[in-house]
Formats: sequence, C-alpha cells, structure tokens
Amino acid sequence: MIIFGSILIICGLLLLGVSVYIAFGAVLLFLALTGGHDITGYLPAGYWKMNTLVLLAIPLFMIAGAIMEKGKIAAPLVALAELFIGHIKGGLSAAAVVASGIFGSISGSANATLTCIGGIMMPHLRKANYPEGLSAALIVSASPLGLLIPPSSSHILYAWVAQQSVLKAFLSTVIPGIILILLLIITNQIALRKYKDIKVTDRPRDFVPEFKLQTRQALPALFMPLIILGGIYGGIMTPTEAAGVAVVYSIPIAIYVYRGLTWRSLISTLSDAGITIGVVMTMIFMVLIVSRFLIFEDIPTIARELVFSVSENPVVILLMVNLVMILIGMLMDDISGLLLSTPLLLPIVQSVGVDPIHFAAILGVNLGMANVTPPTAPLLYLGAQVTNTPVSKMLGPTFLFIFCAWLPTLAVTTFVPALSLWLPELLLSR
Amino acid sequence: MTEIVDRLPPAAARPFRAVVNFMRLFVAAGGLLMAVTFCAVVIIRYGFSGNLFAYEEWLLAISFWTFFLGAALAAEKKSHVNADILGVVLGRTKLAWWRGLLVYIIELVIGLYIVYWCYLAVESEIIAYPLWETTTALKIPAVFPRAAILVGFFFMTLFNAIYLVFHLIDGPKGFEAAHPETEQ
Repeated sequence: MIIFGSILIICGLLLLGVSVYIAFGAVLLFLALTGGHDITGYLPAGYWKMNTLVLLAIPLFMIAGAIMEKGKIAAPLVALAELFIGHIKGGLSAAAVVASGIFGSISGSANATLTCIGGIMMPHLRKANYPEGLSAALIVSASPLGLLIPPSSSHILYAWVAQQSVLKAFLSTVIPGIILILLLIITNQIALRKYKDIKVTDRPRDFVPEFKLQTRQALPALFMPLIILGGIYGGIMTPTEAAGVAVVYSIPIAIYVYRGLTWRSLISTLSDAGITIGVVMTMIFMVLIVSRFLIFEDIPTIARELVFSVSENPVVILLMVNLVMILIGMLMDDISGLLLSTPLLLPIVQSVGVDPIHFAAILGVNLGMANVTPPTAPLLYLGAQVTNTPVSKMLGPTFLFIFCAWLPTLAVTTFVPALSLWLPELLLSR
Repeated sequence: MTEIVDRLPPAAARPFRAVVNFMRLFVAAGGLLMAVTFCAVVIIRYGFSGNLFAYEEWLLAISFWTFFLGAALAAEKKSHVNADILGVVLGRTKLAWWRGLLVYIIELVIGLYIVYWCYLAVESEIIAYPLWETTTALKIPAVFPRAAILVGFFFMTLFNAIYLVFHLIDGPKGFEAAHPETEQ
C-alpha cells in the first residue's frame, strides 16, 4: 500500500508538472497519514543526514562548473581537440564529443559541459554545414560525460549513501565513459554519410608550432583536473577540499587568463550558482527524509521480495533494475533518482552478487542516459536553448544516440563487471 | 529585475527587492566562503602543519543558510526542477491555464504543510532552552541552521503564493496573451 501509494503520488505529481521537492513533500504527507509518523521528526531527520562535509563537494563542484562556464575556459580545449580531428569529415562533431569528455573531467557537471561546449561548437558546426538537429543532439548526448568522467558529483553522493570509496566510484565509469565517447562518434559518423556538403577545416601547415600554441593556451584549463584528481588520488585532499581548491583556482584563471569573467560578474555568477545549489540541496533534503521513512517502513525488503517473486535469475533481475532506473530517470533529475534508487536497489543487486562499485557504474550510466531521455530530459531542453535548435529537430537524432550509443554502453556496463571494476582494482588495490 | 518585483506595486516591491538582493548577496558570499575555507584548510594543513579548529561546525551552519536561501531565490525565479510534460503538450491553451492553477494550488498546500512541520520542529527546539542541542566544540545551537530550513521553505511558499495570485489575476485570456506560442 505505502510503496504503491508513494510511487503513484510521485509519478502523478511529476507528470502534472509539480516541482520535484513538492512531490516528495506530498509523499511525506501521505506517509504521515498512513504510517502515523511524527511530523516533528521530519526536519531533524533531513538535517542530520545533510549535516556532513562530504555533501559540500556537490555545491562546490557546481560553483566551479559555473565559473568555468562563464569564464570561457572551454574555448582552448575545443581548439585543441579541433586541431587533431577537425580536418576530417565528421571531425568537428567528434571534437565536440572529445571536448565534452575533457571538460567533464574539469567541471564534473553535465550542465556546465553542455553550456560551454554547445555554445562554442554549435556555431562552428552550423558554419561547416553539419545537420543542425543531429549536431545538437550529439552535443546533448555527449554532455553527461561530465557525470561519467571523474570527478562527478553524483558519484560523491552515491559513495556517501552506499558507504563506498569515492575514489573507486569515480573510477568505475571511466571505461564506460570512453566506450560511450567511441560509440557516439561512430554513430555520428554513420549518420553523417548521407550529408555530402559538409566542409572540413584545413589541417594547419605547421602542425607542431600550432600544437604548441594551442597546448600553451589550454594548459591552465588542463591543469584543473590534475589538481582535482591528483589531489584526491594522491591522498592529499578529500573530494570536498579538492572541489574548494578547484573553485579558488578557477577564479583567477577565468578572470585574468581567459578573461571571461570580471570581479563584478563573478558575484552574479556565484549567486546564480547559489540558486542551482539551492534547487539541488532542497531536493536532496526532501529525498533524504523520504528515503529514511521508506526504510522505516521496510520498503527495501518489500521491493526485494517483489523483484524476486518475478525471477531469481541475476540477468533478469539486472534487466529489471535497469528498467526501474530508466523509468526513475525519465521522471526525475539525476540527484533525486540516485538518492531514491540507491537504498532501494543496492540491496537487491548485492543479493545477486553485484559489487557496489559495479553498481555505481550502472547507476552512473543510467542517470546520464536519463538526463537526455524524454520526457524529463533536462539536458535536452537546455541543449535546445544553448544550441538554438528546436527540440522537434533534436528528438529523432537523440533517440538514435540513445539506442546506438547509450543503451549499448549501459548493456556492457551492466553485464561486463570488469569494465567498471578493473581500473579501481588496478589503481586502488593497495 | 524579476517577475515578482516587476509586477508588484512599487510600495510592495521595495521590501521584496531588498530581501531578494540580500539573499543573492548572502548566497554568493556563502559559496565563496565554502571554497575559501576548504582551500585554507589544505594550505594550513600542508603549509603550517596545523588545522582550522572546528571549522566544519560554523561552515555547515552557514551552508544551510546558503542552500535554503538559494532555494528561496529559485522559487522566486521559478527555477525549481519539474517535469513539465503536460505544459509542453498543452501549449498555451485554456486547459494549460487550469493545469497551471492546479499545480500552483498543490504547491501552495504542500508548501504550507512543509512550513508547518518545519515550524513545529524549530518551535520545539526553541522551547527546550536552555537544554539546546549544540555542536561539540563551538556550542553552536542546532536551531540556527535548522531555522534556515524553515525560513527557506517559508519564502519558497510565499513566492509560490504570489505566483498563484498573478496566475489568477491573468486568467486564461491573460495567460494566453502573456505566453505567445513559441516553437520548442
């Protein structure tokens, strides 16, 4: 009764267009009415769950992403990627995918990746006669690489909820991320075959001096992942400290090196980032209370029994778990989806022998895909604004990338555990 | 500036403008403070072999204010995440206006419910004085960050209520005129 009632309320209200935090508030009202919970316990429950330094990494990475987005830090990265593959047909769009991967390793945010790379690449692609809908859909489909290539805010959250190593969770999606990059590029190349009038840029006559110049310009930006990941993996900083250092490093880089920001515009950038942070942290607060009270009601055990009543075959169970995550992702944002599905689904997959770090990768790919899958698809709608392309033109190509790149990546990530576990075991087994 | 401040009469808009400006400034300063503090922690640890005593206690308390004032600003800018599927499907029709009305009413009712349980929790803490729950080292009362949650949800609900009033004033005809059909 409680599980179905909660699902019905969330789905109904979200489909109606009610804000996510209000939908969870309605579930709390339902739980108070049916479960007889003391409502004065809601606020302290959420407060104690949120009162941890680990969670501060999320707003800090968001601030770093916002500064990089406004600070034009992506431009030299794009130029560097273009230098290598811009002269072949489809190279420019492949450069957008590669640049999304590189920028993802700096910002850890899909939104920042989409805004930066989309804003820079789309005019180039239009000028070179690349099809508008396909190119915009490619940029949108590549932007969740910011969630897969470390550092990733959602992995910090997963590691915290599931009590796992953040470093291992970070590394779990590196190989799936690379597979996704390759599949996106291959799918796009095949789709581009019918377009004959695509212009290609000339390869620079003096490649080495040009390479040196572009690398020098991109170096301050490329130094960022070195600080973040080097600091974390070297055991020098915690992820939260690394995120703080990344923000402080990005400010002078954005203002004095790339000149995308001024001290005045920095304040408005910080307050805009604060609004996004407020949205995310409110959802986290509400979901944490809901998940706590769902656990009180023993919902994870009920969900597990429900799944096992259908089948005990690990393959079928993993398929069902993926289906549930895709549905959750289609209805709500990645953070709420992660916080809701981790306590419910992790015990189920663990009971069929799935490693929690492997599940981090499955969850990461699922949530990345959910971000671009209609109807919710926040990145698709943001992408339409950033690239100035109608959603109607992007829908078909987006589904093409979902079916030919995202779903195969999800399948191999789910059924080949070595892809997610090999790197963490190799680097962190000491 | 924003829809609320632009549409309210000047006398009513003034306090709103002041509150919104304060929130924006606080949220910007709070974010910067978080980053600078963590950077300082690393510098002090490796540069001076020391530590920033109990920084997490005051930083987390300020963070709660930053988060929930940011959330209030998001309500004022209508930036909270939703899956506006029906809104896209219905376009700017009379039916869409009724859907909007239903959403605003649900958001107001549930918002008031959230404010209510936040108020009960904060009130019960204040009453418990002098036996307040505090942090370990700096003895910061837990009611300080928890009040941020109450204040945040109060403003979110207030802004939602104002948008409901605007929606009713616009009516279906004003709604269609104010939101001309645009291709998504």
